[in-house]
Amino acid sequence: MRAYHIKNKEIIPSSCRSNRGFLATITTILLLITPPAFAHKLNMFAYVEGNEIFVEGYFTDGKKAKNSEIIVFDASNSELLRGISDADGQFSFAIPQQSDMRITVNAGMGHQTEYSLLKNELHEEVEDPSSEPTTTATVADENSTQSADGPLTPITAVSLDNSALRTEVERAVGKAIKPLMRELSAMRAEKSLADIIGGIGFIFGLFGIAMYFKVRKTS
Amino acid sequence: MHISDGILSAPVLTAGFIGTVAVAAYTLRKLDLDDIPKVSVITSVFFVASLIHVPIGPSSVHLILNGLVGVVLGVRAFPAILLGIILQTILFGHGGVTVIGVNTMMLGGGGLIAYAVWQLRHHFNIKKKEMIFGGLAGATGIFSSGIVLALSLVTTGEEFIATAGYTLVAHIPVMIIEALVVGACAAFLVKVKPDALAGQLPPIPLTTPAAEPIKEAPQATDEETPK
Repeated sequence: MRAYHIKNKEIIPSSCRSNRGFLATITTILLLITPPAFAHKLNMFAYVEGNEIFVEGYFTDGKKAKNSEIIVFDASNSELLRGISDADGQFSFAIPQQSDMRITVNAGMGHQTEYSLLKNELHEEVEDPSSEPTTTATVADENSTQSADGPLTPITAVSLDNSALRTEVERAVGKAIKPLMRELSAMRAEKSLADIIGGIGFIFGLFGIAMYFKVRKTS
Repeated sequence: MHISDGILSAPVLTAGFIGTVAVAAYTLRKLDLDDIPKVSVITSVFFVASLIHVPIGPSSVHLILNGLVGVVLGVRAFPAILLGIILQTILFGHGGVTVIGVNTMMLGGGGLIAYAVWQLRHHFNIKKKEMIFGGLAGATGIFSSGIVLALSLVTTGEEFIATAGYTLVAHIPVMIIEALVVGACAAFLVKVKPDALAGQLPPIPLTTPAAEPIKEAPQATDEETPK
């Protein structure tokens, strides 16, 4: 056995080089063909749209998390409601209560992710006195540009169905920011080349340290 | 094939950590100084492999390569996969911190089983057995990990047969791809540098059944060849 090793040691200089070259080639190829997107990590986003909360789950390769179980918990971790996402991985439900919420999406096979929706992201049903003037002002402004009438009439008309209008505005804003939200959560999920190189650096570094101590112990 | 945070219950997670520490400690004892460079390269390959996804229809699968780790590193595959998973969790967000133990048992266990399959090649005397058993080991790594995945999901109330079936069907493309990759790697390495592979016996004792006398025999030839 000893002799076998000795023999091996003598062979190493010639044959080991090609082996190392092979491994290095594999690693390089693996690095080069790595696409920026990450397969099979489940992502989700949730936001308030009018009186409803909209949830969408998707995998980072673009596949939608369809037929996934969506469970909503309140702040004290008790279940509020659950549902199944549709073919587009989407699910929406009426706001169950005014509190912080934790929403989980379980796409099966060990894929699960969660999102915390804070209370202040929710649409307030109770009229907030501080936000009242701003809403009225914007709406009045909008109306005054459309009609030549005095601003007085629109204001009274607006204040009547203020809450309906506000819901409408929130829904419109929600729709407008939907692609932004999607982009943002995709960006957050995407990892850079720096992470990959960093990880490999960690591995070599740790084994380098291990080697250092091994060598010190043997010598 | 990583389990996410928040799915498994505390006892399962704890069992995963205990099992991982025990197996990693046991397998690390066998780590040689000469092996360290090889282990670190293969760990990097495993770490990066999960980023490579192969498009299949509208969806895609990503490589796992725990079979390759088993074939090249033998029992040292386990600590290598443990380190790979820790870094995948921290840097890529695959799986989760609480599930590192279970994920390592799943993928590292698959690597060990792949190694066991790889070792079976010594009982056969056929052409290109390295390629065949490398391929088998690659597929077995995924297959056994799928079984462990289904087993651990059973504790959450999912039905075993259904989950296992679903998982294995979903991973059939990965099994095929990894069988090809590992088979090709094994066939290449056995030509270029056979002792880079795990469990590779010195070639001469394998062909002759008697163990004691041939131990001297290669020694004699070794002394002769350099001279």
